[in-house]
Amino acid sequence: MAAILLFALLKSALYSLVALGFTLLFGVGGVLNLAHGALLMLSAYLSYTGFAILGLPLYVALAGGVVLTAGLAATLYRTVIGRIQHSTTLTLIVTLAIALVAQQAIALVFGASSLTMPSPAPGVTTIAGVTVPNTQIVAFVVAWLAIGGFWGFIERTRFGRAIRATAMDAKGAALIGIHARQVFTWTWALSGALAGLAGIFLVYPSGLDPRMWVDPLVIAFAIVILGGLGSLKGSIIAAYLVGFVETLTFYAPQIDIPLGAQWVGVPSLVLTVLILIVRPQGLFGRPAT
Amino acid sequence: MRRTAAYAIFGVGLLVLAALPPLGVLSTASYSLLITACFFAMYAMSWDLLGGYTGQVVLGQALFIGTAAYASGLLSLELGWSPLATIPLGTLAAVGVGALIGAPAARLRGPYLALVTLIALIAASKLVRIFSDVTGGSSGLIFTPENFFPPLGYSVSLEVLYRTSYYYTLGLLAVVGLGLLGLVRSRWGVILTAIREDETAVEASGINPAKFKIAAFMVSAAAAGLAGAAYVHLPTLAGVQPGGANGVLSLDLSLLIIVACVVGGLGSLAGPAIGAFLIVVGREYLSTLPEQIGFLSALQQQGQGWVTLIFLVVLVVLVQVAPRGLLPTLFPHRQTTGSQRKTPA
Repeated sequence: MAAILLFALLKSALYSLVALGFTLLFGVGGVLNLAHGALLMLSAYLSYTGFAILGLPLYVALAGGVVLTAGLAATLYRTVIGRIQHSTTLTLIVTLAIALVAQQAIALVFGASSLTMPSPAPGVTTIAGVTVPNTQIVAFVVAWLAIGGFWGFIERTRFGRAIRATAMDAKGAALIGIHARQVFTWTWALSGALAGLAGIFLVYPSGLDPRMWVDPLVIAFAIVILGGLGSLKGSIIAAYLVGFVETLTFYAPQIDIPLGAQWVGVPSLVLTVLILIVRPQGLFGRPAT
Repeated sequence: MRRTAAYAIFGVGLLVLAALPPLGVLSTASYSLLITACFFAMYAMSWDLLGGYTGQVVLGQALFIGTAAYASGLLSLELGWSPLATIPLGTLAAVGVGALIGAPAARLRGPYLALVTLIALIAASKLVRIFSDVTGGSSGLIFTPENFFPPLGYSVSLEVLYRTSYYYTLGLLAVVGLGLLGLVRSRWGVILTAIREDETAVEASGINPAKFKIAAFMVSAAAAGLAGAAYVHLPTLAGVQPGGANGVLSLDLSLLIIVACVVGGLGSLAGPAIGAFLIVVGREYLSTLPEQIGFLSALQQQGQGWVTLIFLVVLVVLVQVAPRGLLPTLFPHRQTTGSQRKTPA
């Protein structure tokens, strides 16, 4: 049981990272980016390309994957999403199409089977009698550093203030001279970086495959709907709730409950649908206007 | 004039399709292509009722198709019931799922409903893989002649098999298409369109939009489910698969349906049907291309994935340059002002 709690604690940090980038875009631009999971997958594959094909050092490859994904997200906004952002319908259709395009393209280039990458922090550490892979500890620390950095950026910097202003009232922000397009582009880059960071750590331990975007996206849905779309604080709290539920699902066979790895995502889905029916604005969200 | 245009296009299309076999111009391969296209047209029209007319974007239309296909297939296979009974039962199952998905519509607006449909589809395809001892998992279920509909065995010639299946398909297309056309031309269709344009105004005029949205979900699910259940029982296919080229429960299928509707023009029923034919024929053409062009031959070993990829890219580009649909944009002079009802054949 201690093991499950510890793993849930570690895993939830990554989930927070995924959900934060997803909800950021909704909060600022009103965009539900169904390609968020695909960005995460692309980051993993970009890192893999850097390391296994170009022969870069592992750390450089991983950092490169994150930076390129941020650039990719910004490019996506400038070329495709920016024009259709006003229409929720088109945005949903197009971002889902982009996710599938990415999946098909990756399957064509790298094949549909799973690939593996060496860990940046091999070995294990024993915490309170539980053996934990070092990778997961590094992922936890990096995730919280990123969340902290993100928080500082949004709350403390001038640019962060511009982002918050745009989120509150895009027209008002434009009136006081905030360049909306620029804010959106940077928000997308930021969201892409958060997805990318989560992506390189979600590779461990099961490896990379072209469908690895589905589960994180589904979990991100569950988290942001639970926490209230657009609420950053709600997302992190919800990430921990969902993280515990998912980890319990994963390790359920050890305490004789017939669930397991293939059920990951299903409890979140059920939770999401139930919450949407009972409380459509999410646990921490404001009622839709 | 406008009231009859869609009927005319649809009727002429059906007659032309029905006239093809006696002319002797169809090979066996083109039969199966047209059968697939007809079913795709039914899926696209069922989506258009929600996405085009009611303004309720469903990202997981394959959920309705797959539910009916699996329900009907499993009943037929496990209990040995005739497809004549299991296809309607499968359709009922789809209607039930449609009602379940539509029910939160009373409270949810905008993106949440689309999310629920997507999530439900992902959950369903996960369940199919989890309970693979019943559903056959990714490889699916395979039928024997007792499960075929039309009820033909292996004793008839291939020509008869394909031709009979083809006419059954056309009959089904006529039922589904005319039923949906009749519906959107009624007072009902007006209310659904009004919900799309301004839900609050509909509420203000004393009509409960939730009731009509749920009903629209159920009708759309019925049309998609009937088509899906009938499709898998065809002797020319005879099996249920969640994914792949003939998959009934995949995200790819759901999105290709949307592509067909966007190509043909939303909210016209006849447009999405034409779009569906373009997509299916285009897909066939593209997938045979690598055999003819040398440097593309590498793609051939990769399966059909790259063809889907091309269509999805087309979708992404299309909604930017022609958000009203490809056909309505290419032939604007044929259109009644301010309406997308009429679509050129």
